[in-house]
Amino acid sequence: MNCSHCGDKCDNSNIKIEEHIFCCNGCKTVFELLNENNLCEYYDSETTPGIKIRNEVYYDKFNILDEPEVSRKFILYEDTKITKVKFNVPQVHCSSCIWLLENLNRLNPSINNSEVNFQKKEILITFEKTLSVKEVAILIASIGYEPVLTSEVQVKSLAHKTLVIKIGIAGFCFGNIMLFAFPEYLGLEEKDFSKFFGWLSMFLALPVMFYAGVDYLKSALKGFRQRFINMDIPIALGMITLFVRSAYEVISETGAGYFDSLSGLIFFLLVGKWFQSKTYDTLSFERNYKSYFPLSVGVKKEGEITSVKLENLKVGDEVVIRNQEIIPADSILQEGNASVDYSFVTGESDYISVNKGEKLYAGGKHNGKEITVILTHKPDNSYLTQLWNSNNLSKEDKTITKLADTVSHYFTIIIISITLLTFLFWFFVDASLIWNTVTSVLIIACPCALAMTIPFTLGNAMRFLGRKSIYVKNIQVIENLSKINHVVFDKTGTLTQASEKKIYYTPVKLDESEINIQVKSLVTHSSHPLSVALNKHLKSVPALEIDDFKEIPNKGVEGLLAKNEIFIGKYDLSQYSNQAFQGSTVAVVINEELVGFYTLTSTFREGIKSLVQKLLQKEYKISLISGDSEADDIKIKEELGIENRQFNCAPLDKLNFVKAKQKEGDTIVMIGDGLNDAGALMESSVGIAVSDDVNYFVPACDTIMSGEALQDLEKLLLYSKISIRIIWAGFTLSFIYNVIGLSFAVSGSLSPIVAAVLMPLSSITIVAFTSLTTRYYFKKLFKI
Amino acid sequence: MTMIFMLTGISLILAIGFLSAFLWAVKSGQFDDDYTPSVRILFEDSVKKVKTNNKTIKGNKNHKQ
Repeated sequence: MNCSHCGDKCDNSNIKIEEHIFCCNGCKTVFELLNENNLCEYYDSETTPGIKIRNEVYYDKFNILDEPEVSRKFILYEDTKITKVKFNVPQVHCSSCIWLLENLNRLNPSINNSEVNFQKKEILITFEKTLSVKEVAILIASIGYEPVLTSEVQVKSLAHKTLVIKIGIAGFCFGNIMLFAFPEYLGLEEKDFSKFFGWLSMFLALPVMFYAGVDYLKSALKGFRQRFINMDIPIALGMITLFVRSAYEVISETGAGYFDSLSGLIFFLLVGKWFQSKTYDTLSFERNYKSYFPLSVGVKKEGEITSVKLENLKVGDEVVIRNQEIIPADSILQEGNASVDYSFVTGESDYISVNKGEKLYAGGKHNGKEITVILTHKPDNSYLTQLWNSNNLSKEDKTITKLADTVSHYFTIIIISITLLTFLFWFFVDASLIWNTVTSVLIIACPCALAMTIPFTLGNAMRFLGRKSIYVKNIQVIENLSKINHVVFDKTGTLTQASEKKIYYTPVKLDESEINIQVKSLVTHSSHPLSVALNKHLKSVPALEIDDFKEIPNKGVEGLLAKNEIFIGKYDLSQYSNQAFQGSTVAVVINEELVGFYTLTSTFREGIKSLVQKLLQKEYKISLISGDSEADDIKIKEELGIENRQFNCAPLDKLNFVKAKQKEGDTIVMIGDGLNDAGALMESSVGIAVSDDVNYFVPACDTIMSGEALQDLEKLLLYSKISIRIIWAGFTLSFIYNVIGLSFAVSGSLSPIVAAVLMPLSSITIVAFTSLTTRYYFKKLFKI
Repeated sequence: MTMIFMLTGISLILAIGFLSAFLWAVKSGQFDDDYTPSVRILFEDSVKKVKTNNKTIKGNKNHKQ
């Protein structure tokens, strides 16, 4: 049987409404709420669309929204009657979600309208003033769509819109100018017409030159001022020459000008720009610790708990931390028993129990009953968060030179020398042709095709990789990937899969078949990672009802079954250590007698072994840096053959490792998953975050990759190299076009029609060539 | 002869009309989300109509945005 709400397996569950069965009370509550409001259509289009209410949501945390300063971040529009807010709800995953969230007004009539943007996982809600922002947040949280309340800045896609408008205008003018230029090409005798069409073209070229193409002029000017030759300098030079010469020809009535070439050039360049600007809206590559931490925490002041914003916390504050909340800053435990999951900090997935008076570190997730802590540091001064503050890490510092810059540097020098030579030649031969030839050279040399090669090749590559769940931040990352010679892995969560464990049973007194029902009955009630793993292992075994169930923090679980006292958890197993087990052990004790124990070892992700072998074959250096103990050392050495291994690495050690290797001249790709890798991910040339669910938290990085895609890492590196080779081939192709064009130009015979044919032709061949080759190699490599 | 001048002018004005329609569409956000509306159109809104009539009108208006 599966839960009617979320679809999880829940045999023998006694949480029922009529014929519907639920895995937990959270799911049942949501079902009831929807049922009462005639919203059960939610379950029609998808069978079990619901989101499992994993932990009880503490609505207190939404109290922060009562503060105008905080709620303003979410409000888009507000007047005396209505408010419009935007929330980020990562849980949206199917059409039923859209349906439910867009019918919120049936849950609460004060909500006027709600609209979901599925791709961005956003919801826009308009509601009447009878509701507050907090109440709306609680409403959507209560049906399983808890809005994200972190301080992440919402980026607006205004730049993208402007670009689309520019492309529209340039395309419009390009098309019309081409029409007006046609009669001229076909040999128009009538003087009146060519004059009229010439002026009309010039009029239409104005917005193209001074609105759509103005960025190229600006960027060239900027490059010129900073004495840095970029690709935009020859482009701007070509644009200006085209415009001035064409305007001169039209005004002096000596010709039709090259306005069609000019607008075509700008149109194609803008299309290229649009093509490379594709981004993954739902993914955030810039997250830092702040987006992982809550916006506010509960602080105890004179017996009362008030919400205080993270940045207003002071050393000495007494902070209350509830089940599943993140510890906001380094602190000392004051009250209660803490059981902390530092998996984001260290990669270790087991709980660590902390006693009163002991130290807690920021970033740990508390599991269990409410605790009170006293802060010893401010949040941005804590051990983990210092990684970001002290180093001021930014990707800009990376010393990898861009391919485009190198090429345009030489290109510009060559163009200027050719122009000078042409000038000198005609100066001595026939001075009357100087104006014609020099401008022609500058026009034809304008590196339109050259400038389009990189965005189209890498933009295409980026799109194709997205299909394989490899999400690259921008096209620069692909270029950097092609230069990698050293691959650095994190262990837990990256090479191994935290949720998939290999489980062995070692019998002491009883066989597994004799005790599995008892074990299953107990572990179903616990949310400890080891219990969850055992529960999964015993999924076909039925669970019985348990009396006196107790979870003893940091020890295990116990309960009564058929008058037998059963305990599962930690036990002194030192006498069995000769059986050479590695990993965590869980003992099964019945009536205070050890009957057997389970050994849980982490397993490597699928395809890791062959990945490492292939990487070694291709002579990549491979290192492993792990925050864990050396328990798996032999296994990694023997099974994977990674020679360079480091264990017990603190986040800072990982960062320093990458730094040291880069100083030695290596170009490093770091592959990690947790906050503890964040420093190393930032420092490396390319940081790849591996995540089993890419929409949830990943540290700041260059590439986000799903767990299954990791086995294709070697293909990714190869594909990036091929992409760079395609770019060089594209450069050669556009260079050939330039040579042909230049031969017309230097001899002074470049007519508008030659320019008008040559320019679009070269651009289109480049686009076709790069698109076809990137697609061909992607299919060949990834076998689709 | 003058006819061609006139027709060119008219065609240009017509084309500018289409251009401004495109610019308006971009600015009003019609290209912002190209997935959700395709799902939204398939939802039944029968229950909605029964419940509150004036809400339906409001809802439809908003869907057009």
